[in-house]
Order: sequence, then structure tokens, then C-alpha cells
Amino acid sequence: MSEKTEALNKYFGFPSLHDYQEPIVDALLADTDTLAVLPTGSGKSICFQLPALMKSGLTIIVSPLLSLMDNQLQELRAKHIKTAAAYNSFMSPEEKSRVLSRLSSLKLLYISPEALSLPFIVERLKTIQVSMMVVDEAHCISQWGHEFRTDYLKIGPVRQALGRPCMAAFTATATPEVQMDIKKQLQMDAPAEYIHSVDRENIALFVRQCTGEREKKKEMIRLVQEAPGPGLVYVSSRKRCEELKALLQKETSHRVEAYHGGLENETRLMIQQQFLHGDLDVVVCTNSFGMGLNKADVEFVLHYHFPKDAESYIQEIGRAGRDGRQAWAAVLYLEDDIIIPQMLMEAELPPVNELGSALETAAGSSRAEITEELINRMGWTETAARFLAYYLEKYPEKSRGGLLEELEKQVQQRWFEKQKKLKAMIQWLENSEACRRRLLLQVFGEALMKRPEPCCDMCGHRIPFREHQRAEKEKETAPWETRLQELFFGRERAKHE
Amino acid sequence: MLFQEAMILIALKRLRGERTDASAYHLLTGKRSSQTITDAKWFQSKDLFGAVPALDKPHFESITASFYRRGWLEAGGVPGAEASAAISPWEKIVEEAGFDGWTYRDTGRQFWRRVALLIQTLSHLYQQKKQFVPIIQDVQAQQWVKRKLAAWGPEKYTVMNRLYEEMADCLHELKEVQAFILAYKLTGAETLGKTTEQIALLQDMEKDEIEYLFHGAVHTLIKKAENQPGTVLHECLDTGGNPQLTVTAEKTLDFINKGLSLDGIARARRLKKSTIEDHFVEIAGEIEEFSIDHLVPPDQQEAIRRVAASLDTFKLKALKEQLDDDATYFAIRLTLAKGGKKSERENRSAE
Repeated sequence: MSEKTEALNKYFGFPSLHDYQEPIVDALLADTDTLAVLPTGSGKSICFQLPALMKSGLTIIVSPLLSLMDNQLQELRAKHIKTAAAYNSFMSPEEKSRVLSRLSSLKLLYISPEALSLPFIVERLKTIQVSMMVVDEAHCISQWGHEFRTDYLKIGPVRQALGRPCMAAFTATATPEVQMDIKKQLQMDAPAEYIHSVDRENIALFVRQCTGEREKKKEMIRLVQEAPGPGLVYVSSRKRCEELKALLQKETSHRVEAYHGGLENETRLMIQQQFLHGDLDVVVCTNSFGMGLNKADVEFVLHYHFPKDAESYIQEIGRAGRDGRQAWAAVLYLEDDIIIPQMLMEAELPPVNELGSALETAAGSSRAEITEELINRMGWTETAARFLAYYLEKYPEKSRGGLLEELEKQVQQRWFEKQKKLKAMIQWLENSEACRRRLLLQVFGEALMKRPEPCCDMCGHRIPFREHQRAEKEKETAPWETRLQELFFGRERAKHE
Repeated sequence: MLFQEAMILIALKRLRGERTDASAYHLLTGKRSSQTITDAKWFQSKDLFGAVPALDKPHFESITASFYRRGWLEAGGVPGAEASAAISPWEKIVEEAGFDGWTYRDTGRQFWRRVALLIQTLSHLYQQKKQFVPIIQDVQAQQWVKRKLAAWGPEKYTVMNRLYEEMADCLHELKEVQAFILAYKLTGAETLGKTTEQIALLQDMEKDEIEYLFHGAVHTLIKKAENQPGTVLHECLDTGGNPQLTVTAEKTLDFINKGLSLDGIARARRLKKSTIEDHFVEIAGEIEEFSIDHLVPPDQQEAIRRVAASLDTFKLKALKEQLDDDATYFAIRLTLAKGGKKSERENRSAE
């Protein structure tokens, strides 16, 4: 048995790697810079977790989302891998210092890009051996990408400061120009590249044109009722989430729950677990759900509201059919809905007419203070505030006029990019002739090599609903005595007593 | 009538028109201020302290306003005859729920986290499933369970059986619906817990009421565990600390222990004298060993207690009018804070 197989067995309990995972693991074990574009749900995390555990020293994993960090950490903990920890702004001071005090004994450190750019963190990291840096969701580093995060631009310089350890970038969705940008910003020299098609052959694609909210609701109920699930329904807001959940609970025979940022932590975790374990058929959610959630048997992803660009769309439908079984994705398209991504995009950028007064506010304050001021006093979103703070820091000696000009230019540029992406999404939705799969791949500079069957509505295919398995749904109302026994001893023993 | 509405009326009834409506709001949401903490005690309303934590002020005001319009609340904020009749079944629920947010709000949360995580962990180990996502994310609870498991070693399965028996016993003594809530909130190796909303749906009850009954059940468990050393549930209790004091009163207590006077503390902390007085009242009610004799002469205390008993009121103004001029409001509040405990004890033994 090779050392690699042995480690895989020991840590993860798998007998072997997939064909496409193997070369990535090898490249990283050989300290080669690596860019990997892998579809969501393809087991990408193991590609860096395994080498990280095998190498001596620490691997830093930059991850943009708290929920992503949490999920991966939970999975590692469940596998009894204790040399992993997270560091982010949501942790208490005690938790933070606990992590920092055991840095030298860690193998994997999940960290937010904001935390990684703090000088004292970099100083601490300099005192230990950092053997590898991994950037998850690496498309965030590119301003051509769909979720540009200014803090990602600091990863390159931090790498330099830490003595240029091996660098790996992972993403599920990157157009060719974003790939170029990633390599440049992360200062990768001649990296090994593993670019997989974004196409998920086993997910059939559908768009339903709707003329009004009522028709949309009716169509949603019809599709959800006909599908056995499990499935996800994506909506744009917490409020709609709750509303559609109630509707589906009433109008279908499915077990439906809502998931959004407004729920208490414990409730969120519970619903996620219930969905994972098959206690729920459908979850109505905002796009905060599913990040890093590994559920293999999802039948469908239904978009009640469509996302702001093709990259987000690919990412979200990628939660279906991870087990390789036939799955489907559908968008309920209503022309009026275009206002939702428009408003979202607007909120993500600083309002141009407020830039002047924002600069006044920012004068002489620290970065953290600026962001806080802008959010609390001027009502900006965090993304918009971070955007401004980044450029203030980037051009410390620019005059106020020059800075204002630069900012306006940057905002316009970003706005233009976002509009372009949204337009491409709308065009894809409104398309009524060409194969949807071919068009979607085009956005990512790919050609459709082989048309699967079923492919999409334009190719004349129908939604491949799975068979309903008339398995009895769990009887919820067992008396508490039975339930208590089950809790401790499992169903079998509870049944016998 | 909705749970929230009933709770508001019950709170106002308990306050007997001797406090503002806002005091009822603070009581129900469990505000951590000296005044509210003292109110809960004086008016024997620990079972309402934090009973509807998520109630927001505008909503509270719109509910009370509609009660005034309908005549359910009379001027002075006391429920009328019709309202009193309507809330009597709810009063029974409160009486039987075992809820005591005043004593157990924080400790209750921690106790439950420990119990829930312990059961989840033991059941996974027993059923030989080693990988699971802890349903409790709290690091402290996780470390506590880890420590316990290490200490029990191979004995842990005996411990699990004991815990099962203890839980079964406790749940039997609870009301049926409360036993149901606890059993369905918990997570085991094969059975996932339910959210409060899901349980409410199963029971066809309001979420707020389920939440109240849930905490009431947990508080009952704690009370029982406290009296049973040697049980597994007793081990889940937190020991030590003065959890009842607000953080700021805690600081004042530190200064008292250093020997500073009331005025000295106000200066040192740069706070108003009246604020420090609030802290003294809170401390007097909370810490049995804290004597107020140097602040209020014992015979004045005696007088205050006598008048309070004869007037049957906690209305400070009414008391002040009946007492000598040298009995300050501060002296009255201090004495009542100390005395509250005493009268409560008498009540309890009379039951």
C-alpha cells in the first residue's frame, strides 16, 4: 500500500481516490502550485486535506464563508481529525487565543481572508512552518468573478511574507479570464492546472416562463408535488422563504422546512441535519444554504427566484445529483423578478453619490472603524463598505479628488461587469431556441461535447421526475416513552421493549 | 387568546397597578436590570421572568392598547373581571410549568446543552456510530462532555443506562406535553431532534407556549437534580459562581468587598449614586450573607416590614407616606429586597 493510500484509509476511511483527485494530490505532495476547477460536490476538499495531513507543518485554508468553514470542520471532527481549527471574526476572544496557542500542533487552519490580512496574525504565522496555502472559492479573488472580495487580493502578499509556500487554488466556477486572474493575483508560477468541465451531465435543465406570481406558485406546487425529492427551492429573501415554506407544507404531502440567515443557530443546524438524514423532503432556502453541504441524493434544485449570474446558477444547481443519479434543475422565470438581482447588485457597491461624504467620514479612521461607520451610519452593505475600505488602503497618498475619481471609475467598472453577467443570465433564461446546456457552457468558454439524454427543455425533453417510493414516512407522534428509548438505544431495541 | 397576550395580562395582574406597564414588558422579556430583577422577586413572579423573551416593545404596546380599548385592562393597568376570568386557565399553565427564568435562565441553558450533547454522544457510542455532527455547537459544553467521557472511561455505558432511567423518571413526573417536548427536542444516533416550530405543529400549539413549557421542563429537571447528588443529572449542573447578579452589580460588589462606601464606589466607577443604590438593592436581595444593618438600622427595618405587611403593598410611595421621614426610599427598597426572601419562604411552607 502506498503511503498515500494508507493515509487516505487512516484519516478518511476510503480505499482509493477518484481518477481526477489523484493527480491533484500528487501535485500538492510535490509542492507544485496548482489551479483546480472542479465541479461542486466532486470531493474537492479531500484533494487538499489529504496532502495537508501528510505534510509536515501547517496548511492555511482561506475560505470566504463561515458556513463553509464550519461544514468542513464538522466533517473533519466527525472523522476524528483533531488537528484542524478555524479562525474568524465570529469567534470569541477566548476561542481565538486558544487556536493561536496551538498553531504549531495544527495541520489545517481554516481562516477568513479578513483575518489572514491582520498583521499580528501574519506575524504569528511567520513563527511556525507553513507548508501550503489553499484558497477555496478562488474566484473571489478576481474582479471579473461573480463574487469579488477585496480581501482576497491580500493573499498574494501574505504568501510572499510567509516565504512563498506551495499555493493551491480551488474553485467550481471560473471563466477563462477569471482563471488568468487567479494565477496572477496569487503569484503562481507555471501551476499545474486541472480544469474540469462545469457541465453536470446528470442534471437536466429547465426553464418555465411564468406570467405572474400566482402562476409561479401553482407551478412550484405542481413540480414539488410530482417530485419525490429530496429537493431545494431557492428564493431571494427570508420573508419569501417562510411564506413559500408554509404554502408547500399546506399544498403538498412533503415534509418541508425553511432555511435562512434569520433562524437561530441551533434551528439551522437541526434543519440541515434533518435534510441530510432524510427527515425532510424539501428545504426552501436562501443562497446561504447548501454551501459545502454534502448530500448526495438531491433530486432537484428549483429556482423560484433566479440568481444574478451563470456562475451562481451553476454553483447552486450543483447541489443536485451528486451521487451520479439523474437529477434536474428548473427556474420559474418571471420577467419582473429581474428587479431582485438588480437591487442586490446595487447594494453590493458603494452608491456613487455618497462617495464624497463617505470619504469625509472615513478621514483619519482605521479600517475597521470605517467599515462599521459606513454600515451603521450610512446604511451600506458590508460588501460595499469593504470595497471602499480596500481602495482607501490601497491608495494612501492619493488626493481626495484623485481618490474620488478612482473610486467612481472602479464602481462604474464593477457595475458594468455585473450588468453584463446579469444580462447573460437573462438571455439564457429567455432563450427559446438553442440547447440550454450548450448556451450555459458557452458562458464558461466551453463547447458541448456530448449531449446527455435528457438534456433540457429546448432539446424537447421532459423533467425526469424520480419514482415515488411509497415508503412510510416516519410516524412523528410516537409516545415520548418510545422516543426516549430510541434516542438512547436505537430503534431496534426500542421496538423489542 | 394568544400565549403572549395571556402572559401580558398575568404580568400586569401580578404587578397590581403598582408598577408601570413597561415593567411588565421588562419582566416578560427578562431584562437584566436591578429594577426588573427586584420586581420579579417582590411580586413573586420569577415564573414570568423572561417568559416571552422575543416580545418586542411596539408589539407589547399595541397589545396593551387594544386591551385598554376593550376594557380588559382598567385604568392603572390592572386586568378587569372579564380578563381575569379569561386568563385563569393560563395561570394554571404557568403554575404547573415549573418555569423559573429568574433563577435558571442562564444555568438552564447550559444544563440543557450538556444533557443534550451527552445523550447524543452516549447514544452514538452505544450504537457504535463514531461519526456525528454535534447538535450543540457550544465549545464549553463540548469540552465538558469530553472531560466527562474521559473520566467515566469504560463505565460510560453504565452511566448511560443510569441517565436513561433518570430521564425516564423525570419525564414521568412532568406533564405529558412537557415530556413530549423534551423527548422530541433531543437527538440520538438514529433519531434527530425537532425544532420548536416542528414540535408546535405536532402538538397543535403555539411556538411561544412550547418554548415556555420547554424551559419550564428544563428548570424542573434542574430543581430535581439539585436535590439528588450522585445522579448523572446532578453532575450536569454547574457549580459555583454568583450567576444571579448583573455584571455591573457584580463589579459594585467587588468594590464593597474592598471596603469602599456607597459614595466611594459611585466616585470610583464614575456612576450616579442612584445607580449604585440599585446595585445595593440587587445585591441585598441576592446575597444572603450581605447584611444591610449598617445601611438601615434594624429597628427601622422592622418598621418598614410591619407597614408593608399591614398595607399589603410594595408601592414605595404608599409605604413612604406611612413611615417616618428618616426612612428613605433606598432604605425601604433595601429592606424589602432582604425581606422578600423571607415572606416567600413563608408562602412556600404554607402551601
